[in-house]
Amino acid sequence: MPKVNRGARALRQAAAWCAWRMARLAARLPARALIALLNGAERVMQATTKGKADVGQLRELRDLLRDDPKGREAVRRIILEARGPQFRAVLQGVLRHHVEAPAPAAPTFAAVAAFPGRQAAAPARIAFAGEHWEFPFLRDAYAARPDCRIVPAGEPADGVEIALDRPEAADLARQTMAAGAAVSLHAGPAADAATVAALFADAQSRGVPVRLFYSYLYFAPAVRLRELLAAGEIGELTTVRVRAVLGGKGAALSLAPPFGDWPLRHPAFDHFPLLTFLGGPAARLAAYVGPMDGAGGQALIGVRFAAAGRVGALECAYAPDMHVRSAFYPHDLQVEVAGTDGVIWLRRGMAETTQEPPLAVRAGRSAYTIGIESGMTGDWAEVYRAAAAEFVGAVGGRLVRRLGVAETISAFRLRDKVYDAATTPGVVELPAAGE
Amino acid sequence: MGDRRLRVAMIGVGDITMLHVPAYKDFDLAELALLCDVDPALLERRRAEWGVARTTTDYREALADPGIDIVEINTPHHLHKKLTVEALAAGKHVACQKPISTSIAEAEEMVAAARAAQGKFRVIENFVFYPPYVRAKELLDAGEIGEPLTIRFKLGTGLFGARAPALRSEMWHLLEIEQGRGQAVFDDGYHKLSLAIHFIGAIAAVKGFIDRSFAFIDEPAQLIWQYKDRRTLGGFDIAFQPNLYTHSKYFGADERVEIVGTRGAIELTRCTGQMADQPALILRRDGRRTLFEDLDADWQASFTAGIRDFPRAILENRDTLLTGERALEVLRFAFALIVAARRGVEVRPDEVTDAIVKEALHA
Repeated sequence: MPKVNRGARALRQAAAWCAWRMARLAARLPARALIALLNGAERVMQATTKGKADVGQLRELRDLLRDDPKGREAVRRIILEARGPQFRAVLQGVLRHHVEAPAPAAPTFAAVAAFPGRQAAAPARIAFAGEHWEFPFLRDAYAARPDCRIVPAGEPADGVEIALDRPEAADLARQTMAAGAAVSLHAGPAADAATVAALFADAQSRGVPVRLFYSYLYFAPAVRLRELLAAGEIGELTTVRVRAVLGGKGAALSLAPPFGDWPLRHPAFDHFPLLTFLGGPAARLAAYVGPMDGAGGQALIGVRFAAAGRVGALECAYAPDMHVRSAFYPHDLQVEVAGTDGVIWLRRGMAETTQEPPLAVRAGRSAYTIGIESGMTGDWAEVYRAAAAEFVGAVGGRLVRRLGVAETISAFRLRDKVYDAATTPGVVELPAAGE
Repeated sequence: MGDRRLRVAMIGVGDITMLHVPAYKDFDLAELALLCDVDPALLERRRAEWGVARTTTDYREALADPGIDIVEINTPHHLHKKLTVEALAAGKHVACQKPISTSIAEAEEMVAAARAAQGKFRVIENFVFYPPYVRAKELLDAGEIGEPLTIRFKLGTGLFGARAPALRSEMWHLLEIEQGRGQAVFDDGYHKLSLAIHFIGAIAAVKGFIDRSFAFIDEPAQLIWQYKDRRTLGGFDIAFQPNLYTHSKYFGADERVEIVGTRGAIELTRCTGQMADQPALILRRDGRRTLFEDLDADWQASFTAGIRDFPRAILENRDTLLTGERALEVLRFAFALIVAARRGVEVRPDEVTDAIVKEALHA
């Protein structure tokens, strides 16, 4: 895979910044001066390309400034009032496509972080509480580790995986922390934002590591996706779409359908942490939640993220007659993120609905995939191995937060408010992350 | 009309008509007979390019000519109502470019005029004639994916890889935008909203967010809605992607549609632009993907089929696919989305009035 030329990118960014500042200055010039400037630019372009430059738009802009006062004002408004970073992104794109052009850009490839085992002499003692749907896989992952030992109930533990879909989960977490053991609380059945916030505060005061376990935070393609976003591979992020379908056939395992009062807490649909992981905290949400029954069901949650110029959606569908091939549960998940420079698709998660590479990237003119050819298998079992290793690391004092405390609480707030949003004829505001 | 081909007068010969004209070439039911525009230079250029002998700068010449059967109106939106009503009153069949008008009152007046007139009236929207979408609709209606649960539309707008619209023809759009009728939701979005109704049915209520980029572009946006008579939910996300390179002979738009049903899913991967080498239509069902690689996926095909459908409807004396009533429904849908986003409330398209729109835009 080609490497990104970071120097060239930095140069483009700097040039775009300068061009943006110059454009803002130029927009304030009298029309005659601006026309003279454009004439000069045309001459420079023609001279440097031996007359081959495409100056049609430049001439049109000049004619517009000369002939059409309304057009002139519109152009000025675009330049002066436009969102700075996006305008610079366009200029950067102009430079990329029309000035520099040659090598297709591609991201650097970094292996997903591997976590060393516990440094202490004794293996970490891990206990389990509850019978959460992912426990068997986590248990296998811990059991395969040489640096940890699964202990039966009642034996002292260094860390406890807690997944009880009952209010006792929070109490058990507090008791565990009081005993000085690390806690891994499963995000799905964990109570609500207030409870989670209190747990984090409690953990901080006691100096005990606590994490919220949510599987996609350990799914290598999802982690890689966020790394690409952070590296600016598709420019400024503008939309995030997470699409979750629970099928009824084709999987090795099955779970109860998402009926009852809280269908969006069903593990097939509870992807609020993923939406937050990719888009950041949400500021507002609007939702429709349809009935879920034997005939199927659906929900659509639209959000405006706290970051300016960014929106997203979580789409959930229960399709009882749909065949979803999976070695685990029939949970089909796809993600599409769009930025000012491109798009990235996460094409599968737990289910194997496609045999194509899990990540497809379109950035500027370049397109590439990240999959087995890059050493990324998209193996779902690896999720549990990574999560187990990370928790053992936390027990050993090396806590890693894939989703920050404020972001985690924000994801829970979003989930908590979905039903309000669905039953309210409008939009629901969320408190800012950290409040 | 006898056995002769229907004769068409085109009022307004701007950018979009470049895509209309091929439909009349080698078409045995209708011919382009008269071109009209207020710009004599453009008119002269079109006359030379298209080989249409007659031109005029006065639309009334077209309406007064008894030899003209169909009037195609391709002018800026705010002129649609006046020209449509006058053309219908003159006994012409009228095909008006989308969106039908800039206000509900105007659209209602146009629909009423069409009901009272002898001529047929349709509002041109090419997406419903795009061959992959036509096939998708057939699959949907045949129950291939079971009952539809969700339908999603995506629009990503890029500046590279496609031809740039002429700045001059964009100027009146800027004035539209200034009045709150943005290009992504109201103008280009019309296609997706039309499809949303065409595929599933009437809209009950909408909510959503519309942001702004470059101070005036109504992107990004995340819009959601409920249907009236089905459990299906719909969504439309619009991504602002100025640096995205979208290959297209036409405009730089990455458009996608996905319909998830109880049994399977339909994926439509392109329309105006083409982001990747993949079939335009994919059906997922029973654990398999069926790729439809036998469809004409060139965007021009939708214009050709759409334009030709109108003379056929006239000669077969049937309703057109895109009636004035449907256009009014789409217009209400678009305004409902804009009001919902502006005011942060749920809006029912049936209850939207011009006063509500005006109030929301000035809030």
